[in-house]
Amino acid sequence: MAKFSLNNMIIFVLLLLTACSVHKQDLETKKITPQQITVKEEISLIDQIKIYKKDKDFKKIIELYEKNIQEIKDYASLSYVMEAYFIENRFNDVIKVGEKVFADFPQLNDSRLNVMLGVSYYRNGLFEAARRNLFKAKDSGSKNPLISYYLVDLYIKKGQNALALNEAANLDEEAKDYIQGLVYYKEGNYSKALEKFSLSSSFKRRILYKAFAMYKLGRYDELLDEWEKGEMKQFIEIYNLVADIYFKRGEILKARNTLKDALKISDDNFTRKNLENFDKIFLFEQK
Amino acid sequence: MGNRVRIFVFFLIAFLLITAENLLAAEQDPESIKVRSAGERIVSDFINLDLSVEDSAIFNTVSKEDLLKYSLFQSFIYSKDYEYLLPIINDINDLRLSERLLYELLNIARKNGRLRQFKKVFNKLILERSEKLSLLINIIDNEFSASYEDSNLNTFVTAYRYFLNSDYKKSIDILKDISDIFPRTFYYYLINAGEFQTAIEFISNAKIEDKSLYIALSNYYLDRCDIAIEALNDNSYLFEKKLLLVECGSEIKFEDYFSSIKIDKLSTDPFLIYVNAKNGKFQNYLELQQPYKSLFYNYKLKSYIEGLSLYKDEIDRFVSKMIQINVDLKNILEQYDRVWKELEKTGEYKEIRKKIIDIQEKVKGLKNISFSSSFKANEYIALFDKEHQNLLDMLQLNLTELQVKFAEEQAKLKTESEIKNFLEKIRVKKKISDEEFNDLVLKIDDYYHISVSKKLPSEEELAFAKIYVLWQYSQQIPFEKKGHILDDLKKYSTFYLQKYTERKKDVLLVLAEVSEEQGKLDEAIVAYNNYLLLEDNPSGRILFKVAEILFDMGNYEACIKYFKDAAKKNENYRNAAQYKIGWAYYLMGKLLEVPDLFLGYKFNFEGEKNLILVDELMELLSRVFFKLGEDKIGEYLVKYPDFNKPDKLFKGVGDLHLFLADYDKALSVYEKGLTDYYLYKDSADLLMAKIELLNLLGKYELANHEKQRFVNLYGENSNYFRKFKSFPKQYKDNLFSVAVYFNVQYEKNNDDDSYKNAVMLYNRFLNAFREDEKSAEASFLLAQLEEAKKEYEKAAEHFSFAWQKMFREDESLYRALYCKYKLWQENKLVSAELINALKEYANIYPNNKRTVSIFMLLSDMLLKEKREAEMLNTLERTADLFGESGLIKVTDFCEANFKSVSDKKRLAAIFNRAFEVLKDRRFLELKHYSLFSMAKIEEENGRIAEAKMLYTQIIDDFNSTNFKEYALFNLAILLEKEGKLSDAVKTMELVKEKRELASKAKEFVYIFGKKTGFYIEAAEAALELSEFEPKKSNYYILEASWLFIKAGKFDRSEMVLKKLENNNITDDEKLSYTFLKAALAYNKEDFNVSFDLLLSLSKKDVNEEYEEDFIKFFHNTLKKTIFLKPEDDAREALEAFIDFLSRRFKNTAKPDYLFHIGEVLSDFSLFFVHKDEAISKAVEFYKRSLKLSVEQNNAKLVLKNLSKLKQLDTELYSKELLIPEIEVNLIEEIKHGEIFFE
Repeated sequence: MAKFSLNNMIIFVLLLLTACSVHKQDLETKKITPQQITVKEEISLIDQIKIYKKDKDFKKIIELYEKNIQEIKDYASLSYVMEAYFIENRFNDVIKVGEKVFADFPQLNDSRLNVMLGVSYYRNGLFEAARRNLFKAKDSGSKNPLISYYLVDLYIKKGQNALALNEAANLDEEAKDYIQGLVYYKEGNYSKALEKFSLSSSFKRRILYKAFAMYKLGRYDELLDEWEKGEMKQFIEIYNLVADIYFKRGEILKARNTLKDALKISDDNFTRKNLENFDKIFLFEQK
Repeated sequence: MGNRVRIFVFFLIAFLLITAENLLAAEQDPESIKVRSAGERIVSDFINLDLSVEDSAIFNTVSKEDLLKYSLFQSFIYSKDYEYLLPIINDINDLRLSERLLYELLNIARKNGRLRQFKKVFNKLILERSEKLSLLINIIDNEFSASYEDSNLNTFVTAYRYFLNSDYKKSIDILKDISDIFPRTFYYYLINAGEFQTAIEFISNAKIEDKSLYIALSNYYLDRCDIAIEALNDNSYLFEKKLLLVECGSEIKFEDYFSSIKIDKLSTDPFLIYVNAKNGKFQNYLELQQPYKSLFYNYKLKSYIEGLSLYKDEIDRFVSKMIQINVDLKNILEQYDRVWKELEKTGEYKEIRKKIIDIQEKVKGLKNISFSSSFKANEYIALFDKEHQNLLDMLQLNLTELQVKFAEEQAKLKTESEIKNFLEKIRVKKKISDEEFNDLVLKIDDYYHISVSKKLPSEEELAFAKIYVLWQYSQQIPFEKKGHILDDLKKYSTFYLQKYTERKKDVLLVLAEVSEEQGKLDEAIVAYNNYLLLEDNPSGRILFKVAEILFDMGNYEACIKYFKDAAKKNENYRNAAQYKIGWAYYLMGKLLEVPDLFLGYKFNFEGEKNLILVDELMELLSRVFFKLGEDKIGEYLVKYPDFNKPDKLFKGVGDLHLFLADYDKALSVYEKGLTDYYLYKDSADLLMAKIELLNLLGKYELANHEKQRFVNLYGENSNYFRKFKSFPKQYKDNLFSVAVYFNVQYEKNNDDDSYKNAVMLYNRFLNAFREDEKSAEASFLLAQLEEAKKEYEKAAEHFSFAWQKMFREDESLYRALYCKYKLWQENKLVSAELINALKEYANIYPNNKRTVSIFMLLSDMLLKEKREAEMLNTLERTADLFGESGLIKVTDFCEANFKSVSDKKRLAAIFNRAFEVLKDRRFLELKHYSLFSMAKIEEENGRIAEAKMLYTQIIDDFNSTNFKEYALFNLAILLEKEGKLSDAVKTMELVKEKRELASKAKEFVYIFGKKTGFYIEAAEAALELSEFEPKKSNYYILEASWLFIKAGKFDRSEMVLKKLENNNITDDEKLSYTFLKAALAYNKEDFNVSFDLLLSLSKKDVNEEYEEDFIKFFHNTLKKTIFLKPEDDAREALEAFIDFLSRRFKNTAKPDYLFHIGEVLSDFSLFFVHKDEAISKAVEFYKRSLKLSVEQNNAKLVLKNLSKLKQLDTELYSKELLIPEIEVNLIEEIKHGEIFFE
């Protein structure tokens, strides 16, 4: 734990005063960032991190850390740094800092750090390590929904659907429906999956799963109706589905145009391959 | 309170003794003061306070008996005979009181050094011995050897002993621990030790009620009078405070006090009571009333005992009380005597009763005074009791006698009072019912007998009362029932006149009137005469009565005098008397006397009675002039120019002629009277009499003529009206009658003159008699005339007037509104007001039959004013209110205004209702017509959905009309336009009945059925069309046959096709016919037949419509047959097929052609020399066809080509689109940052 020297105290007070005045000015005229504060040089690293944190300037935290990697060793600062990496999706770095923190402060069992570390392991494909840390966080009483999301996903991956649904019970109703839909989908029960996806509007990927479920059920007209509404056009995978339907129906130009539209969104190999095949079959001029 | 007073008495004694000016002590027992030091007494008193029985409040609660015993004790206390006093104490029920008395005795014993004797007595006492009392005795006796169960008492004794040795500090130390138990003693020790401040502090914290007294005392010790007095500021200590004030010299001395005050028994001031008692002002403590008594007792606790020498007078007081009682008794007796005397004088009953009750109460009060003899009372008391009882007994005896006499007197008085009341009631009675009459008579008889037997003064009054009641009753009943009552009256009147005199005159009058009523005029005259003898100043009425009796008896000469006397006596009889005198002259034949008697006579014409009299007088005069001749009237008028009723005389004379049936004479007399005296008030009566007579004689025309004359003679422009400023009473009716006459004439003859006259006369009537009730009728009749002449404005006004006057209210208002409606139609009136008025009519007369018409007028106006919704509301309301009749009117209106109404839907609803109620199909037709019209409008306005709904409504109606098929037809067209072809076809199919629709409908079904795959329906329609349109018959038959083939109904197709066998058909039709034959064969798998037919057709042009099928049939037929045919035939057919294809698709880029070529090359490659080449060519054709079909978006052909190509070039054309697999991934879209920091 860092100790406050008298000097630090004065600075802190000054800082507080400044922060107050900043806040006031904030209301009145314009926002003043910490860089503009003239007493900057006198601020300790930890305080600086705190200021960045307050301003949600995570990149600056990372920058500061990486410049002063040897100096920043205290638990609080490191946990802020971990957060910054986490938010910036730099999961490798989260793991690095996290492991360092857990090695330096073995007695601490901070559930937040465990969640971040768990998620980061997951993102790096280290599912077992992820599971371990998420459980640690869960055992120490954390109610962070991330834990459940990731555990559910891990269960689904392993085909442990019952456990996944059990874990999903900790989440809100919509999330529960969505997860139930995913489980049905995974089990091949597409019509039931479709029902659940229609109840979980805040999850974007449900549209993707929905389109695939319709395709798999052969409900092409329905799928095309939905397609026309536009919402589905954000997923390149669905372009391929639609193109296939047109193809099956002999509507070759539509199919080809759909594929071409898809490639405008993303230069997807898969789609490109499909388009190439098309052109070969139908003697379209290759461009 | 008690304890406080008692303590204060000690306190009082304390300082009185200390100041050595003790009035009380000096008075009471100066010796004891000398013997005992003041200090000693105080100590014992203080000790006593803490040790002895607690309070003197016992005197507030002990019984009366105990108090008397206490008094007795006090009376005997100075005998100092403990043997005598002991039983008194034992006799007292209240333990606390007996203990207290014992304590008093102890004190006395102490004072008198007779403690030993006291102790002896004490030991004999029955009452519970108190340890504290024992201690007290011992202390007083200086006996300290005893030990007590209560250790506190032992401590107390020890402390006391130190105190006695003046070792106050020691005694304080010892008592200190239990100072809360003996606060006063402890306090006293402190005072003695000179520790005043400590004493004050101690007492301030002590838990005693009378704290302020001690504080006052301490301060007094410290010579701080002001503070001491201040401490007693509590209102409860007024008495003590006064004592202190006196002592401190702030107030007058006792002596002064005594001399200045008077006895005030009611005073509540304890000090005053004290002073009074001390000064001997109270001779008798019983004089004191509660609550003073208890105060007095409290006093006695010490003031008596210590200071006042009143006790020894106790017995005397009893005696004096007895004397007092005796005095009371004497007073009562005196009072009794007084009452007795008053009673004998029969004074006011109520007062006496009150007094007797008073006495009774007093006796009762005395009786209740009882002195208990349970204690050993002395002889005085016994004596008193005896004397007391004797007196009471005597009093009771006298009282009983008094009551008996009183009761008798009371009964008599009661009867008298009853009779008095009864007579009073009769006196004021105005009306007596039958039942009441009998009761009254019986009661009078009863009372009369009682009065006679008891010699009550009301006897005569009752006798008269009976006559009075009979007379009153006789006045109320009809004459025929009066018989016996009148007899009784006569009987009792005679009886009265014999026995009594008081009301003789009245009774004589009754007798006279009874006789007169009985028709016994002689007797009546006698009675009247007797009456007149007694009456100096008879009333006019009596005189007139006597005169009338004489008149009736024919004694005209005599009666004249009485009539004259009566007239003199009473002005009211003047006219009547004069009239009677006239008759008397007339009857005596003195005719000439009569006119002179009246023509100059001043009549008082006021009052209805006199008017009748005047009429009768005129009749008398008419009789006279009838006899003298009417011409004489003029002569007399010269003599009496002021006489103003010659017209009446002529009328009277005329009437007499009429009475005698001399009509001509009567008419001439009337006419003469009218001519001569037209400007006299009642001249109109003459003309009226003439009119009536003419009517009677049947001369109606003349009578009408006279009526018109009447109207002119007495109208508003007549001289008569100018003179009198009023019309004769008959004018109004005549005017109305003449107006009606002309009205009838107009209706009969339709002539302008009559019309004008009628209108003029009605108007005159309305002007003159606007407020008259007939004015409404006149106005109504006038309005009718004006309405007939289309003068709507006037008519409306006059109908309105009639309505306002409530003449045929509903009709008048209706017709007024109708006239206004007419004016509106003529643009002479704005609508708004009239519309409101019409609505108002409906509100006023909701159920009136005319309201329907009003609603129709209203609807018409609303329609014209473009207030359609309102109009429809009105129509609906009409239907609601008036059922069938209303509906008929409403539907008539709707029909008449059908075109003008835009909301046909509501019209339809109205017609629907009419249909449901009236069951007339016409309304159904109208309903459907409305809906249909509305639908057309909706269609025109582009509201197709609404139009469809309306058509559907017509179609779905349970009851159908001609409009149904039109609706179906239109609906089908709409559906077709919407692209709902199959629905359209199904709908159109239902159009069957209407010929004018049928052909179009069939055409529709045929065209769209064919398009939409309803082949059977289309085929049937085509068949029907073949009937409708003979010119195109063959065409439709061919179509029907082809459509049946398409529907798979081959037999039916064949049957239809057979119809053509006998028809003349064109070459083109023949080709089609052949194709259909081929198609049938092909479908029936008769490929040889189809081969031949198709081959033959391939060489010609096939109907374009059949082309695709032809190719398909031919190709498949070839596939089935070509390998079985001889090679030449096969090649020929193949060539023919290729030729056909080439011919058909020459110069076209049709991909299907390419496909078909490809198909021929691939399917029939064996027939080509270079089989492989044929195949590769086929692939080529397919590819080209595919490319073209892709370009032309021909999906069907694309798929066909792909399918063929897949068979021939598997690798490339078997390729399918790659479909990505998606992995189930929840995390991908989880915003972990957001969730993490949530």
